[in-house]
Amino acid sequence: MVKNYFKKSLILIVFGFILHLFFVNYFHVGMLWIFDRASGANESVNTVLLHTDTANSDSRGLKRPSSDIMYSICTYDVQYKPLVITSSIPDSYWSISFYSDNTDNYVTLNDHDIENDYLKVYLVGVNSEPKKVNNGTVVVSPSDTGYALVRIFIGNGENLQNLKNIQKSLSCVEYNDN
Amino acid sequence: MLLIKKYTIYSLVIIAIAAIFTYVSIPIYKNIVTIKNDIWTTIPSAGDPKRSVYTRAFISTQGLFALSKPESVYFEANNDIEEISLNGSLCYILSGNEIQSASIIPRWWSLTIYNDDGYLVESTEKQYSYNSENIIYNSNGEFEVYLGHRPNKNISNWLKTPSEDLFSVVLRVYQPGEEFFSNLSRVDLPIVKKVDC
Repeated sequence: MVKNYFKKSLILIVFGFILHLFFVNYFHVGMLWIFDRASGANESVNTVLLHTDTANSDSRGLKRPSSDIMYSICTYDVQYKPLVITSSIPDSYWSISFYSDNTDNYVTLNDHDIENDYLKVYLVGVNSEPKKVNNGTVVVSPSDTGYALVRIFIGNGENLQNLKNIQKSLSCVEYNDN
Repeated sequence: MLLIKKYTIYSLVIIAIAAIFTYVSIPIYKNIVTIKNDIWTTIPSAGDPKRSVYTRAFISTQGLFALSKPESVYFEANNDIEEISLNGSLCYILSGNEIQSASIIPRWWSLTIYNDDGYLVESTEKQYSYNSENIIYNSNGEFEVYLGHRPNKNISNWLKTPSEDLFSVVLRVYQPGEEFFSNLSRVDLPIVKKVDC
C-alpha cells in the first residue's frame, strides 16, 4: 500500500518536473503575450509601433523602464518579405537592438557602428533574402517574427527636442525589390 | 466517470507540482548565475542568445528586452551595505566615484529607483534617476545621491523612495569595455549606506 503511494507520487513528481521544464522554456511567451496586448504589438506589425517619451511612474508597458532613454519599437514579421529600417542618428548614444521571437538579443547596432549618421538596415528572414540591397547593413533574423527596439539616451536633457525629432525619423517598412 | 475524476485530479496535481518547481527554481537559478559585487548583483550578458532557458525566464520577469555584452550591463541592489533590504521608511546615501575599469570610462551610466513591483517610484519632481551627464559631482570628483521619501538640504542629488515599501536601485552601464566585463565582481561600484532621515 505504502509502496504503491510512493510509486504514484514519484510518477506525479516526474511528470510535474517535465511540465515545469515546458513552463520555463515558454515562460517568456506568456510575458510577451502580456506585453503585446498592453502595447498593441499584436495588431501592428512591420511598422513603428510606438515612440515613448522618457518613462515615468505611470509607465506600465515594460517592467524596469529607464527614464534616461526614449524608446521606439517596431514589431516585425519577415517570413515573406524583408524589412527596411531607416533612421537619422544623433551625436549622442543611440542604438537599435534586434530581438528574436524568444526575446534573445541577437544583434545591436549603436551610433558608433553607423556611418554618415544615417541608419539603413535590411532585416531579412531565413527565407526572405532580397535580390538586391543598396547602401545598407543586412541583419538576418533567426526567427520570422521579433522586435527591433531603439534606445536614445537623453543625457542632461538639453538636446531633448532634437532627439525627439530624430526619434520620429525612424521608419520600418516592408522591402519590395521586384 | 470515476476514472475521469481520478485523472483530472492527477493532472491538477502535476500542474501544481510544475508550478511549484517553476516558482522555486527561477529565483534559485538567479542566485546561481548572478555575479555579486558588494551590494550589487548582475547577470552578465543578460540578453545573450546563448543564455539558458532559466536565465531567459528570469529576465522576462524583469523587463523582457535585455541587452547583451558588449553593449550594456545591469546591476541591481536590493540591500544596503549592512545586507538589510532597502526600505522606503528609511533613508540612505548612495555614494561612489566615477564608474570605470582600468581607466576606461563607459559611454554612460545611470542609477534608477524602482518600487518592489518593478515600476518607477511616483515623484512629483519627475526625477526618477540620475545619469553620468546630469548627476552633480562633489568637488573631489565623487558623487552622492540621497535616497529618501523627502529631500535632504545638504545633498543636491535626490531620488524619492516609496513611503514605506521595499525598493531597489538599478545601475545601467553602457559600453563599459571588455576590461569592465572581465571584472564584474571587482569593479568599483557605488555603496548604499543607511543614514538618519
